[in-house]
Amino acid sequence: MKKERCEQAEALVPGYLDGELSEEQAAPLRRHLLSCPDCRTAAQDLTSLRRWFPAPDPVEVPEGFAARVARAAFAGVEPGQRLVEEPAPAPPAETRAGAGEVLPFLLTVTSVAATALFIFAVMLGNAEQPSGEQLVAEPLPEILRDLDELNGRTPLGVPPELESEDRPVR
Amino acid sequence: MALPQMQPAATQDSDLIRETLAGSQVSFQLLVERYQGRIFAVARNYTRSTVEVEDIVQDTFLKAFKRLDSFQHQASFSTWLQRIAINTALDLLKRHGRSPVQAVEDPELVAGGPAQPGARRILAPDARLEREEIAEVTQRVLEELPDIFRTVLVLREFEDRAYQEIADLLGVSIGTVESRLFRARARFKEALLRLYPEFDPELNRGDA
Repeated sequence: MKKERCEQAEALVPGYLDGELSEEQAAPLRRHLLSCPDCRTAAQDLTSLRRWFPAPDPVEVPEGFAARVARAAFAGVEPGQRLVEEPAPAPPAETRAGAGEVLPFLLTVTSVAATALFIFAVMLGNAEQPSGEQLVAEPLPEILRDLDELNGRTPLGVPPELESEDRPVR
Repeated sequence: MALPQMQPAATQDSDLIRETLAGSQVSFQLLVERYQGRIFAVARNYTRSTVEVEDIVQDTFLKAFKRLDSFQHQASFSTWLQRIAINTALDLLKRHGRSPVQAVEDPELVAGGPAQPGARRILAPDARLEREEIAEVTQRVLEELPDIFRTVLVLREFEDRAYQEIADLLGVSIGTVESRLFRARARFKEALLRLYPEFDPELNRGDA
């Protein structure tokens, strides 16, 4: 039966075109293909498909690839991590800065230093100042009272701000 | 005068493996140099991005290094490496969402299977198409194929591997390779015609 032969041929055509058939298998298929235009068309369709897979270009391996991979493997780099070599540590800002970048850099450093110095000075000054809780009103000096009595005046209270200003620095 | 006999490559591989395991970075570099070309060839079947190809190859060798002590010498080192490369490439495609979900449809179990290869015809790429354009279309179509079909197809069509070699690489029988190849070609045609109907001969005949 022709149909059965065509079915058999269809199963063998891929192996035939892939060069996988023995001559014993290929010979009867070849005879069938010569006599059956439909099977020839089917076989031709497979060759059309294969033309969608053009032979690739020769492989180009990046230079130094094996050395990089071996070094990474022995350095304990895990699969999935990029093997890009670590860039050298950035040089200090002074050496990195170009001629046009020196002035802004110096200004920045100076302003930061000045601010730090100011804050330090304020903190130092505050450390020497008593807090409000430590301020204690001193009794009026007796001499003032005596002077008021001598002048025949009623004794005056000393304004609190004077009190605090007069207090000895402790 | 007889030429000195070259040492068999397999012996050299096992020597280099042993030395690598003993701490020789040089021996590992020699192993990488020996197989990097082949692994690059496998990897580029799965992506057109040179960065991704290099990532796949790097990961393949790093995985091989980590598992070197578990390498069984029954399979060749080359086969073992290529298996790692294929799995690494497929993992990358999955991570990037460029691989169909297998769980939805196990192609080996689908009743009736796909259309027979002879059921639909396709046109060969137009001679005027640039090689790059063909490669672009082919990669796009391959992304539609389940892993097992994609792999068998690229090994056969791009790399011209023999059925036996593919069978060894995938750890399956030659019959399975033939069956997968048959279905893979049918799937490729179906996807090509779906994505690029202009390559349908029937459509072209109508236009003519």
